[in-house]
Amino acid sequence: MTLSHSQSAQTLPFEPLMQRNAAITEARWVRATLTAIAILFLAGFLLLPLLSVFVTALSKGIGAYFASFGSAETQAAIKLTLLAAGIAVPANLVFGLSAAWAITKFEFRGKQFLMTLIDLPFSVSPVVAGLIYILVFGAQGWAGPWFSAHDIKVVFAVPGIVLATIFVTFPFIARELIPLMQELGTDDEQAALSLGASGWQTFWHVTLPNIKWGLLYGVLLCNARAMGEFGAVSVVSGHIRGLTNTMPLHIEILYNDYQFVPAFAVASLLALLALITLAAKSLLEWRFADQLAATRRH
Amino acid sequence: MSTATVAINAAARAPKRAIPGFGTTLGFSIFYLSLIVLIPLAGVFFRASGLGLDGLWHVLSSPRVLHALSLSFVAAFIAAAINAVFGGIVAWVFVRYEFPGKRLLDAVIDLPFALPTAVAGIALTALYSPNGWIGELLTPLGIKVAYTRLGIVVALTFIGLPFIVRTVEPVLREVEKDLEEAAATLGAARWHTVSRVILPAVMPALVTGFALAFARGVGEYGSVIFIAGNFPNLTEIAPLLITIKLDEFDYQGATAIAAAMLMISFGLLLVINLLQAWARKRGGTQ
Amino acid sequence: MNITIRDVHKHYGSFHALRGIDLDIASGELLALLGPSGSGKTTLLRAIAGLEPLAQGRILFGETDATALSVQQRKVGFVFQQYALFKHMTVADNIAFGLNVRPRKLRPNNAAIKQRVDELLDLVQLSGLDQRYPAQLSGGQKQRVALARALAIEPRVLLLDEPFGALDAKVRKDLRRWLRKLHRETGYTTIFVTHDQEEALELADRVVVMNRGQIEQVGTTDEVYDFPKTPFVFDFLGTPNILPGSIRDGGIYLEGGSQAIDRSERPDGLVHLYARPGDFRVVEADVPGLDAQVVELQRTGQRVRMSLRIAGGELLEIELPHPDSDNKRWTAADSIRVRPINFSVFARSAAPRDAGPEPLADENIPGSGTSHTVAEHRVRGRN
Repeated sequence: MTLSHSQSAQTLPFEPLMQRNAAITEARWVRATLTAIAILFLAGFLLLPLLSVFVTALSKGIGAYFASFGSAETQAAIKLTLLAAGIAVPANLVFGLSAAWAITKFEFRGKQFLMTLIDLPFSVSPVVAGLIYILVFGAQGWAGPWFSAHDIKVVFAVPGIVLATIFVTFPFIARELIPLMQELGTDDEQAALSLGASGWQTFWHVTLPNIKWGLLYGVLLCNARAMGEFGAVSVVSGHIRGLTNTMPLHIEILYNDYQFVPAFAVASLLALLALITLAAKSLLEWRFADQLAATRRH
Repeated sequence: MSTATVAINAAARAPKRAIPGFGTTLGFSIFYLSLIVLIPLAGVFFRASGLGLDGLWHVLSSPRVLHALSLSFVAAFIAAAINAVFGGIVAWVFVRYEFPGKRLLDAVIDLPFALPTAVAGIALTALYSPNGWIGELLTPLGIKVAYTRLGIVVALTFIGLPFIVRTVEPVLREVEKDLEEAAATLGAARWHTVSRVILPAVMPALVTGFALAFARGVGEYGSVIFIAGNFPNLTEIAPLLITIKLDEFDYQGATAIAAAMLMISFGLLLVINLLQAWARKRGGTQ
Repeated sequence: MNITIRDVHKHYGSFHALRGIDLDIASGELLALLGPSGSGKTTLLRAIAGLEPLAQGRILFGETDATALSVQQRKVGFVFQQYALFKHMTVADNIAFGLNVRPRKLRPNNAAIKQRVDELLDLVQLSGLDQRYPAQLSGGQKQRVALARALAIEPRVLLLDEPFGALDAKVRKDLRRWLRKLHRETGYTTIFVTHDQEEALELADRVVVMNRGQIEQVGTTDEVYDFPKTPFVFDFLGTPNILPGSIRDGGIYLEGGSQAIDRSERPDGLVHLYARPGDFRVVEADVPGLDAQVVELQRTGQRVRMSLRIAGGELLEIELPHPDSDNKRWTAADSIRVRPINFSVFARSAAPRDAGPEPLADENIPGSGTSHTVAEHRVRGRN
């Protein structure tokens, strides 16, 4: 039996975390009221909208639901969304790893400033994010003439959509990794290096296994956001049906054409993606609570 | 070659840092950041400065632009305030109480992060339109939500909720039981303990969450444009006005509004950072 | 204010944390609750404060039954182990908190509160730090702010949970002395929890030794140290050697010894003999004792600690003056005969060895025994 200063073992192992004595909790009616308010608020603001997506999508029957995906335009929109996310997520993954490594493994001047810059896209309106690319690559932009001279279309074409998607999802993976890797410190890496491992081996065999769940979580969030981005993509896409419409843009077009079932059917795919993302996230959090604890802030 | 020579050579070339990859990772990060974010963003200010102060003022002082900007900020402020109250309650209930379905609801809180804004937009519109599930109940009471400013607030409340909850939750969880017990032994009634001990401790987090939700709300586009109805001078938000100006090839106008929004957003970002630094210093775990 | 505790029980689920505590605390007393982790000492302290609801039992403050009073109504000054200072408040606001939250009618006016805060700051020797935040204070300073905050409400009783637990050794010693002085000056009934026997014995008027939710012994430092009632108390307050032996026809025999080392009134049976390292003497071959061989010895200034191997292979730890009065110097492999001169005898079944904790400090070797005769009145066990 050991004695330690820091814990009063009388209370620790036997008292569930939530058991709080009368001195520091509220009257039962207060607890019940607050809980009711919280549940009603969440149900009204989050569950009902989610439910309405699926109910509306299926309102004309399952046949009409699946028929919604038959049109060539819808399929083109799905493909473009997958393409944009397929480029944006890996690009931001490489950046996220690289930035997190530089920021958490080394000390240098201006680190705090760099982290603020990485967060910038969070505080920029998606519409402005789209606008900046038009100002750079558009016909009247600085780089526009050069690109059109070389016959490369950026704005109102797929590259613009990819760029806008990258911008909007830029901080996600880095923001997940930085706090996590900060918490882990550099001891493991230094141990591996002192044992003769190369930089790559250290990253691959020591760092990556430690951060894989946080990394996966970041990738999931980044992906959900990439597939669902609307404002930024809307500005740079030009809305050319079958060519530069992503799924969210296609939803808008269908909705404005009063094609509610197809609009909500496509929306239900994205809602499903959101649900899968949330489920995976919750699963990760329940199983790897400690590892992810550092990364709960967005 | 003797071992001594090897050792000396190795020492002579010893890298400054024990862990490799500093130059590569930092270099790449800054390059990518500049390419994707900084240079294009600088473009807005470059363009805006081309307008001159008079040009900027000319665009921003038009009633339609002023209305759109003030609508975006006021609606975002109200939504963030609603979230500060209800999101605060949600965070409290999730940290302090047990109830059935808690884990499921906890997962759902992040829905606005994961659900595409356009999906949220059409879903909220369907719910709150006069023949929607909620609109049906509100219409007889004379409350119109869809296609009004109230609708914009509803959409921004949806978008901002997780910012408050997820910022406050961890801080609330860290408020030590000891503090509350100490307050109780000193004779503080429960309400005093909550208002004077717990609330001040979570206040920096609450303010940070408020600022994050507010900043997000100001720039929000996708979830708002469906439910807003987009009537000029009534329910037209600033981001929408930017797209309208772009559609009209009024790049100057679009840039001017964007620059104004960016400045205000950066100002907010600065405030958030200062707040956090202040909270760190005062709550200090130095 | 005197405090009366009667038959107090506390459960955490199936764990019985307090099993029928009876205790009387005199007004103005400085009392230590001493015991290992899990002994229930902190639970008892929290029960007195009203922070733990009780399954059974009563707690009286003076003539008032406090059992049904809420924490707020009990007016106890509780100092938490980690101080629990309000981080967002200045030192002055922390100290004034208990006065500021009083209902308007009972609240002193601002000038009076300020004066009280100044007095308390003066008392805890922190004048001039009133506008600091807790984060800007050292551990010892935080401790004193916590104390001042608890004293501000003029508590009926002062309760301290491991008051020195989070401090380093030097600060701990200073603060201990200071707390003793403070207690003398203010005269508050004070109860503190500790697992450090040295702290308890040095500071307290009386020590309550607790184990497994029960009180093993209550007494002054001399009483619990010199006359431990149970094997647990003996074990917890030192590093005793435990020697198997037996009682036959009124004599105490050590295992392997043919001569009785002392007389006893106890009934015949197997016993354990508890003796601290300093309570052994080297004796001549014809005196009753234990033959042993020196295995290892370590000189510490005027004394020497020796590990001896006795018949049967067991190790015995003893400590002697060095060199002794005959100017004898011991070396390894010497054969010697030793005899315990101060010891307690407990019936064997009553002394489960694993009930004891690992001792914390081994500095508490009593001064070289004053008596070379075995005190028969000390030989009492628990049957």
